[in-house]
Amino acid sequence: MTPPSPSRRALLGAAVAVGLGGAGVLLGGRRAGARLLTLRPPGARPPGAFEDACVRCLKCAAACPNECIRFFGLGAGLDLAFTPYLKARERGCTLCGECAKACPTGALKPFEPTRTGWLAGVKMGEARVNKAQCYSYNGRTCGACYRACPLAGQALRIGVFETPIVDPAFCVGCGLCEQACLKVPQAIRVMPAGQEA
Amino acid sequence: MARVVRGRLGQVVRRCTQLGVVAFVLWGALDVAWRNYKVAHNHPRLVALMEGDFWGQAYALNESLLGLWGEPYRASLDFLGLPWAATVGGVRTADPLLVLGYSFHNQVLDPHLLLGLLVPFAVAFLLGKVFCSHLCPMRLAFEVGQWIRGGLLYLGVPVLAWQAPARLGGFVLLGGMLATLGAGMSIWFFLLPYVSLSAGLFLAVTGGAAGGLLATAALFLTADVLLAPGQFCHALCPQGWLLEQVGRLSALKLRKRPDATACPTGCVACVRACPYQLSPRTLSHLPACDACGQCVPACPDGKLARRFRLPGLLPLLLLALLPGPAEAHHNKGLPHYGYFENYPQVPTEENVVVAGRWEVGATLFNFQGLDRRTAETPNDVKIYAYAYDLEADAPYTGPLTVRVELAGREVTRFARDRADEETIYVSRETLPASGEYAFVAVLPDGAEVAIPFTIELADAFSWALALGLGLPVLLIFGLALLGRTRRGRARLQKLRAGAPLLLLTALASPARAQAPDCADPLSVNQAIEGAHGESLMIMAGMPPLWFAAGMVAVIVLTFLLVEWTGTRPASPRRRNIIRNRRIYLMFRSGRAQLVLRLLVVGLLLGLVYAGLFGSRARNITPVAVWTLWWAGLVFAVAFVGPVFCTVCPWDALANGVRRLSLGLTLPRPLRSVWPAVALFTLLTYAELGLGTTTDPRQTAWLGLAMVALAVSGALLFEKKAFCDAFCPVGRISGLYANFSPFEIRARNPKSCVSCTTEDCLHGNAAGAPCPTGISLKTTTDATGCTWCFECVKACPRYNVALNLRPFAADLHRARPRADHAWLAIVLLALTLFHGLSMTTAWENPLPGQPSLLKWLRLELGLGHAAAYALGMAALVAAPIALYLLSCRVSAWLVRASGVPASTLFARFAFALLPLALFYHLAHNAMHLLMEGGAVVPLLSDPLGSGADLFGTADLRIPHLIGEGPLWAIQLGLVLVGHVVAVVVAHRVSRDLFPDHRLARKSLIPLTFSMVVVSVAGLTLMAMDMSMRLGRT
Repeated sequence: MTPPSPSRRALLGAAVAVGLGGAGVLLGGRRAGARLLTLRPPGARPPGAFEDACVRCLKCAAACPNECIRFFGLGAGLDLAFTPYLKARERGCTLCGECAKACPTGALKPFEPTRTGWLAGVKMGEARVNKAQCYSYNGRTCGACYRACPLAGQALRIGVFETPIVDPAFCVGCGLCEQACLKVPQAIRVMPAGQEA
Repeated sequence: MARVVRGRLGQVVRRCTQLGVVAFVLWGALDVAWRNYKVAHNHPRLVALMEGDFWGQAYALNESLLGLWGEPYRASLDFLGLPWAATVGGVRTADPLLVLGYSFHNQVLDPHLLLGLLVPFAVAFLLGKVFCSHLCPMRLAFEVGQWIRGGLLYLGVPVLAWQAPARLGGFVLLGGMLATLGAGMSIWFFLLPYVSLSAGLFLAVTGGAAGGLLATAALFLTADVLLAPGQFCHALCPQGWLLEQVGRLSALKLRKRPDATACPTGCVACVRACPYQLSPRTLSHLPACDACGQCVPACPDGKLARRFRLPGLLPLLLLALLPGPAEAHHNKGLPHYGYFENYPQVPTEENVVVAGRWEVGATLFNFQGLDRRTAETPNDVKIYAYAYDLEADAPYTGPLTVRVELAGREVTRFARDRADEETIYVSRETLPASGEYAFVAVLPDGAEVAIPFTIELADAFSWALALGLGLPVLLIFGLALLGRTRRGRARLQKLRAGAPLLLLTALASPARAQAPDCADPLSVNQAIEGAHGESLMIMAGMPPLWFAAGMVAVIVLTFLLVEWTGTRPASPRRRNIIRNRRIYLMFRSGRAQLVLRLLVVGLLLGLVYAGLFGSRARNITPVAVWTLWWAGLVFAVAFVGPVFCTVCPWDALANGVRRLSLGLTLPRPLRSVWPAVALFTLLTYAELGLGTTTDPRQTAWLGLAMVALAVSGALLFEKKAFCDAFCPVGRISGLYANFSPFEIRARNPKSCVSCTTEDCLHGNAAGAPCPTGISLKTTTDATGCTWCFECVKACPRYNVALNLRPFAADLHRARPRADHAWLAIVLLALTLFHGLSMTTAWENPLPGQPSLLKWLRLELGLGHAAAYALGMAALVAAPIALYLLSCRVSAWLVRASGVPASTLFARFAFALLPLALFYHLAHNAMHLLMEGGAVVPLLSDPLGSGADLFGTADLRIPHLIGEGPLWAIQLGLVLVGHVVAVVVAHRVSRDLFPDHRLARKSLIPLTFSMVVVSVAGLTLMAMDMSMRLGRT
């Protein structure tokens, strides 16, 4: 076959480039009003900036010793696709910080895996207690969430009968309390950061 | 010789590095799970107890190997990631495209990423496109694909070999960068198949959204295998283009040896070996060559070699790859107690919904124990629900009813007078299938609160099923593999004797197992009103006695026919019905045809309009198209001829734009009916699998798609490419028309002898050329003819006849091309599948009832569309395989005559047409007679808007025929089809083999498979059918 003339090749190429670029720009618009109800891994940048910075390399999940990081599929839209999230009720984050260390672009910012480090660098969300559901608030002392909290005493304090009291200033939203809650449906739930209504 | 061996060795090394990359990806994913154990200080023994001995040992091996590098947990973090952002031995590398895309999208330069860029750029600078040839996992997949392609070519499957018009990698890179601006980095998952492949593999192991990614990679692979071998890598891959530019001066290049003599004229061994058809011989392979070295062992004189120009650079490179010092680190996170392994009763789903006064929450447990495959009640879920009265600010504990709905249809319900446990309502329900459920709580003030849930019941993987479905594929590839070498072909010859017997027994056993359960006393009429008013009816199949009688008749008739119909038939009498000059002139003017065509175009547009804009629930389009037109079409062809083609609205629309046509010649691979075969298969899948038959929108879009196809065919190609190659309706009509009692032929064949212009074929001022390339001078059968009557207009001698003739006159005279033969056999297979798909054995609309489709979905964990496609592929392949096999056996039985199986395949294919046609008729008789009445009320209210144009909107037409007569008609039709098929096959065999003993021998396997097909048809009619009554 004869090689096409340079101008035809350029034309074809320009068509390919414009087509691809156009398709990407058309498909890639961020979904307005989509409410992300799942948590991002610790150290994540705020919503929007995180999706821009994430290069979808999946290294955070490869580094996670807790197997709690999962990935959105295409169903979540092109801007969220293949970005990491975790579902606290099934497995909360242990705040070990390996994912943030593995992140090549700083979409997850590394932090020290200590109390001060967590308070300085992690804000995945904020725990909320549903008092109507909670055993402790209904006369049966439980305290499972308090014992699971890595910042117990600061983020989660207990009152009489081990009633949990969340201090939003200290709660980093790791979700271990949600995972530990004995009540069905759960009485404590982590609302993702920057997503509060 | 030594050079060739060294060249082969190079290939082995290359294969090892490619496999190494894939292994690295899989190992990285596996390490995620293992790191979990490392954190918990678990011993291999504990892992063995939890996961089995094999994994225990693998874990121990991994520990000790990582121990060579450092402390195993820490060391495992030095090996992370996937080919485009890996950490290997603590050194971070980044894919150049990833860095570019990231920088472009965010308009920042990240120093870490730029550092990571150094490694691949240094490698590319020194070694050229070594990534492409040695590391890219997709290249490995493409090479496997080429191997498969070789097998397909050996099997005679037509595959295309498109060539990209130019190398466009740079432009794809540019386009990808532009797309990155809008869509972010995920765009590369669809432009770089190695990214989607390795991410898919990684997620498949760790559990995640792998399906779509692997499908993307598979799409690239399929395109490479079937359409354009090597073209992605060569012409489109942006990464390859970038590395090529960086590596223009690389040290590693594939060259001719300096001492090599000139190549002999005409030798293209290196070009053949190159996946991109580059030619080192003429030194035109640079810069596109990626030095994979496949041509090195191929060169008969060993003239080629990969050579380093500056070998001294290599140690430097290795030095650069040495790992940096590992960071000090000892955090291991919080301890992990194996909670999930030990206590699997973590809620499957929890959701809370607030609606007005009520807050309702429900929690679900997949009640399936540790392993669903061993659970006694695998489909049970436990539901915990609560309601909170927001007005009273107190938990609600009074009476509550909960409905469980799947896709809008109630599956089960439970009611409680008061909460079961304090404020919680508890129930355990058996659910029929995975899917999107809704739990609707009905509260005392009448409020209904719906909580959506996704329930995944299918988590078992059946190896037996996978093996059963995969075995035919393996078999084909095995044969293809054998066919690739001379020794293999010799072995294949030996195998041919024994293998068919083995296959026959294998095929026979499931046939026995599929015998219908005729004695079921419950198979009575059941009409169900669905939640959306979609009316369903289960119709009982033929009674067992009828079925048995039919089966006996099929077998007895077969034997009798083979005994009786020995002689070759006398030339049948024909009667020309357009002898009358006035009638002939009427056909010649074509005015009536034009009027009819315009009428039908109007009808088509009306139906499309009704389908697109009418009500989805009550609409004339599906009934008119699928029950009246599609069913009526077959009757029309069988008892008149391809009359639909005469008035075809699609062709009429295409004719309108034909004068603007570019007039290209249809590419050679498409000059067959293969596109029609593919379209028909797709159409059947859409019709059955996607529910097009009940959906007015889909039906209308399908009609428009055919318009688009016909019009674009006319705009691009000369003649009528759409009719000739693409249109499934026309091609099927053509095949069936070999049976029909009318034919278009030369009135006086002797008059044609002196004709040299062949105006019927080439056309003239009066009439267009034949759309399907038939000359009346030579035609022997009706396969191609579309009854467009252009030859009537064109023939200057007025020598065209429309003959009345006996039924099935052409079937044994036709000498079908291979593609027509394939269309016939695919038609039979799809028709049988069509019948099967209506039975309750395939898909049962009653909730909780088992069916084949449900079983597929549960066993393989597939979605509806995928399970349908898989089941359909397997069931359609079965009759095809049966026919292929019987042709093979026939050829073996008559091996003395030297007639190959391929000839038998083509000649006997039309003998199957009566089976397909009459099964089609029997099946459609049911649709027409039972469901056709639904069109009468819809005529008055075509859009479902409540109109009453003719006053028939409220008319309910009862079934036109009772069950008994219908069964009689169906049984009769199947028997007639069988008889015709056997007679035709017999005539074909006598035609092929002058020796009647050989002829009879050749018939044995064929009549056997005909009996199998007819009995299968009867079986389908004896099964319960779920009827489509449309939505009322």
